Amino acid sequence: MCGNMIDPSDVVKTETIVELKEILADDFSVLVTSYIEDAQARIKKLQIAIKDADAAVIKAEAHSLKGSSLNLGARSLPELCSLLESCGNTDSLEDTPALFSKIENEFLKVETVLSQHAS
Amino acid sequence: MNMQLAATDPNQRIKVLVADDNESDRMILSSIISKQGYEVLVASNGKEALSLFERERPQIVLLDAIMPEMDGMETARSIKRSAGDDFIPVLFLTSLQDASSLAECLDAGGDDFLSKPYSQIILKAKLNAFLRMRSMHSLMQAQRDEISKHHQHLIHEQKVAKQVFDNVAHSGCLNSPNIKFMLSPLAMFNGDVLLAAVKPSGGMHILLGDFTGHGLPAAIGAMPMAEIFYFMTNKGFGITDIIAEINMKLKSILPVGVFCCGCMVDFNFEKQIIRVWSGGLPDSMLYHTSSKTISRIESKHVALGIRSPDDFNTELQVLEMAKGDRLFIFSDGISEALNSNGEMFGEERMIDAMHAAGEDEKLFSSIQDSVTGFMGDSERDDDITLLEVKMVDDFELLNEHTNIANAVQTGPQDWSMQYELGANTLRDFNPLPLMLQIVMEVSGLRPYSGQIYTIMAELFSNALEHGVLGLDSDIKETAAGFIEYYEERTRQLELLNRGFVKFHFKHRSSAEGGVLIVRLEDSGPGFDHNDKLKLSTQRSKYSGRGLPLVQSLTDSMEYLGVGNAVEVTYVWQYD
Repeated sequence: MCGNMIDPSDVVKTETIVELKEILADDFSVLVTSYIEDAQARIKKLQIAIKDADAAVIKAEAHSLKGSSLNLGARSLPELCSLLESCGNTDSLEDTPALFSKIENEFLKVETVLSQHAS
Repeated sequence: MNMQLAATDPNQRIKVLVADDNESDRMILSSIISKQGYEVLVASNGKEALSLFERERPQIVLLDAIMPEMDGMETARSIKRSAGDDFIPVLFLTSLQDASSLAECLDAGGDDFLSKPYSQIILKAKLNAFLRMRSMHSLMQAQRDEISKHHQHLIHEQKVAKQVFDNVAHSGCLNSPNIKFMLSPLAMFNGDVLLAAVKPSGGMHILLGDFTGHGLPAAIGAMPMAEIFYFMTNKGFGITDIIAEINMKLKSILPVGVFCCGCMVDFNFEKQIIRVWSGGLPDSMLYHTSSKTISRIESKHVALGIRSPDDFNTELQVLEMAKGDRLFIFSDGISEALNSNGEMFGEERMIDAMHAAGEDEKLFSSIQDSVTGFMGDSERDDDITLLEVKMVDDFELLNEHTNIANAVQTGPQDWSMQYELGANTLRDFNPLPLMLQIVMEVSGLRPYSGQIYTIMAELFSNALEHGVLGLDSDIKETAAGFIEYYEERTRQLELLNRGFVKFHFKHRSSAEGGVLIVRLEDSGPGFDHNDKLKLSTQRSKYSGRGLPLVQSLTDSMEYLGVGNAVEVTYVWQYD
């Protein structure tokens, strides 16, 4: 794995983490857990929706994941979600499996970085 | 109202509703908002948000634009509907980027956006800004409600005032078939008054008044005026007494600069004569049906409420008015009505309209149409009051059911009295109202007040005019003579320095009613009454009709002594 070579601040904005820690104090780890669980559930739904070519669900779940990821300071993940949301919106689904793989990968990085911040 | 109150009252903590389907987003928002000291209500979809809103009535709402169950826009619309007049700021939480989606949020009733990722500083600033706006809105609404309350109150007061006024002013006989009138429905607040009342003797008094100014100040003088007019007419007072009393009352109650232009007319349907007092109004118009001509009745006096009683002139104009003739009285609202070019309607146009009417029945509507046509759509800055009274000879028949209030009567049953008036008193005092009032104390006699008044009036005028003043009733045989007679009477009264008229009354009650005996005695030389009674039956309508009338109203009539005393017996029964 190349995990050790990632700079955490390339994945999640450090200043956002600092602000969130200030706002939530002890609840920061609860926030991270709830974000990760929510995101994992949406990623599963996305996987099924892509297999079923269900554009509406793709659009809604991608939008929601984009919003919560933005709030947690993720850098690339919202952008990838936004592209997937557009696919759902325009019902052009041919690129969705490839985009989904990128999202899965990026989420793993976000999850790793956030867990580090929370511990 | 204190604008800080809502934000600082500890019992009324501001509630903020947050609706978002992402738990992590909700957590972040809740934490930020709680830190500001607000109470947070959380919903995870639109439906939940709406029911929470209805139950908790939060002051401000943050909505995720895209949510399951009911999306943000639909939720926003429902919340705004439910809030009604209350201003509930709705802020959309959004990671939407394109302009049209953002615009759609505002179209749905959203007031602003909050973009993800959330910034603590921006959220704090926006909450403050919207709560300030809300306070301002509540303040404005409270003031609007206050103004509306005051307005309602004012309208209510005016309604009550108008009702009281209508009860006083419209107890008369304005609805008589020989009267036509045009009066603004809110005339009370324009200062125009129209009064008409049947006299106990069967004639009629009418009065048109136009108070200076508008609104309540103009209306306020109309009340005592109507009261005096109806009360005194009902009690049998004559036109000069009434107009003098009104003038005195208005002079004493109205502030300087407020007065009342008015025209009062006494209609004598029996003699086909009118007596007019007019002050400050435009000249009245008398239309003669036989010649189709119009004569003016000049408004000779100063308006009512200006002169002190000593300087007040009660001089009347006495005019003949044949059956079918019509008297037109109007306020300056008509003559000064303006068209769109600012020209006045004027009396010329009014006379033209009368000539153009074609037939007598259309005179009134012709004037009415002409004025309204002239004014067109131009603004009415004065009130338009117009009155037409037609001379008739069957007025009593037309007005059988005039409603003069009958109080429950209890009072004297067996009594007698004598009342003697000397020369100084006869000169300018009319004893008839007082005499009538005393007689009317008898329980059950009230319905007969008209007949009794007529009897007393005829006997009194005979005693005064022929007995004391020695006037010759033969002069009255022509219309011109009647006027001459009236002037002579006035002249002689002023010179009077000796003589008397005595009233004797005797009344006794029975189970069915009672018997009233009235005797009048004067200081005159008397006359050959046997001859007079025979003669009078052949006389014209201008004279001598009084005695046969009295005879027909009473059970017996008898001249006594040398003819300077007359006694009538009036037997009456309970209604």
